[in-house]
Amino acid sequence: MEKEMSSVESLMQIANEFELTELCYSGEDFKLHIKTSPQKTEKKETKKITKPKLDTINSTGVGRYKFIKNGSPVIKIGDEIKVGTKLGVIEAVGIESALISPMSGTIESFCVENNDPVDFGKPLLKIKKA
Amino acid sequence: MFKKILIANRGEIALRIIRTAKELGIKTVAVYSTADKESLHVKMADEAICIGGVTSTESYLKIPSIIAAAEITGADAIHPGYGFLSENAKFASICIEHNIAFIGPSPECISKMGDKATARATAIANGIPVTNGTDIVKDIEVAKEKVREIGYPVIIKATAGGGGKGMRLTYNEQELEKNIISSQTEAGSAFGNPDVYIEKLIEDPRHIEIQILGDKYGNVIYLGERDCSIQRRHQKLIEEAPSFSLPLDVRQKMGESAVRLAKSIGYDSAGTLEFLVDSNNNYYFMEMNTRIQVEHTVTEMITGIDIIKLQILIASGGKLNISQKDIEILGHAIECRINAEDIENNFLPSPGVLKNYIAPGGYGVRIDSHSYAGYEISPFYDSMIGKVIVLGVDRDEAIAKMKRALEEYVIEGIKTTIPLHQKILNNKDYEYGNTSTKFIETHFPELSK
Repeated sequence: MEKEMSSVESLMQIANEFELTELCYSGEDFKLHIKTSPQKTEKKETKKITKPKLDTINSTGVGRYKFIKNGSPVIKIGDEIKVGTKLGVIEAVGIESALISPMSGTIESFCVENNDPVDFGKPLLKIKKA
Repeated sequence: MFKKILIANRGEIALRIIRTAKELGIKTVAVYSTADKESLHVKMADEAICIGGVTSTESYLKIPSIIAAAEITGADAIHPGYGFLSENAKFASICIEHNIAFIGPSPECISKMGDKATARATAIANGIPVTNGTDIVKDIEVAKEKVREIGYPVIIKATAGGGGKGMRLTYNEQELEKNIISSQTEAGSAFGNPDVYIEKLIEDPRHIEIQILGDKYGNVIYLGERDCSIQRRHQKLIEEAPSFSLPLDVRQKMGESAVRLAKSIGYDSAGTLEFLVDSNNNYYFMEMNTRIQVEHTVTEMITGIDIIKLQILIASGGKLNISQKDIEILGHAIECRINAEDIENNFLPSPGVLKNYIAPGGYGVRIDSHSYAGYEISPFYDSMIGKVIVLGVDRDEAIAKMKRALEEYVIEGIKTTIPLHQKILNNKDYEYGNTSTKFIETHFPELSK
């Protein structure tokens, strides 16, 4: 009897773990049919996680993207930026072209490291739009 | 030898260069516009760099982006292919200034031959026949007087010209002034240089060109000639090698003229001298193309020489390892340029997705193409789908092979110029070699408008 009880408990655990509403078991010594009450499952509420919609700012040229100048960052994660904010430079053959923000928002992350080579259209920054 | 070559071009010629570079053990960098993301040259190169937007000015003509791409990838040489920046002396100079080898002639050679009036004067100075003509037109009344001496009809040409832009056929003095002005205007907007000159028109000529190769040590050889008379509005459709209509002694003289002119300017790469040949086999120097040409393939087929390979070796400082006596012409080669155009609708470009694509093959058939099933022929650039090149033991065999190859070529989803090529190949005058640059106009007037 003790053994059977422990088997039933294990099966109940499986039903709970996988959120099954019905489970049938046929063993050598006993048969089992478990039905969970619908109220129980309704009680279980799942929290909906809504990810913030992020936009990317892409490279407008070919070269090395530099967002650290003389050891200090021009921009960093968490910075509020506006349309027209300078986001560093794309440098090639000794010529620097400013990367200007086309949108307003908050810098969520960098897609590349400082001084990485980038080509046209390469995502550089992820922005949480204002 | 170079370690890494950046190919500043797209389409079939980019692939052509990547293939030879791979055979030479050289790494390759493809550059591409946002429209060419799915192109074969992007997939086949060791590295690929997007250099800009869809238009040529935003990408394939944007010198700073191309140089930057070479810098970030560590490319030590740039091959410009044909078109785009291939005959831009400024671009060649900029490459050299940034310690990147330009796989082509020196900027000085490009400048000298790129300006057609200067090229003409250089030819005259070297005793190479040119058609009777004028210098750059500065005064219309002086031009009128000179043309009276030359005799009508004449052709007005842009000194910076190419592809027929700025050209005006002129049959009498009443048209001359108007045509000079419209040619100057067109040349000014197309090339940024409004200068034009005038040449006597050769009626019904054949277009014969000589392929040359020069190195940095003063050696120049020629690899026979090509007949490119089958043209529509100055755009070549079919090219052949060797010439089937010219006596051997004339071909030899033309080859020697080409070598003389190239040597006189210290030409140090692959190049082509274009001539017009009249019905009495008199030849006249027209212009020089200081780059690889679309139709270089037919010369490769009959000589067994990989011209791109030698161009790369020469640019890296190598000496020409073959001399004139080593050049042997074997067989007859024909090339058909297959474009995405609607021949029944004034050759309107027919861009779109290739729903099905099966290239021909078999003995003696070569396909130089960047196309594949699912590839989209872009409306932003030239409409070439690919080149079919055949080699036969003689012209008859080559024609038969080309007819067979075109029949095999399956391209679905867009209109192509294959039906036009088939019409030409089945024409008796073409078969007998009765061709001139007027061939399309004469035999297919409905297609030449």
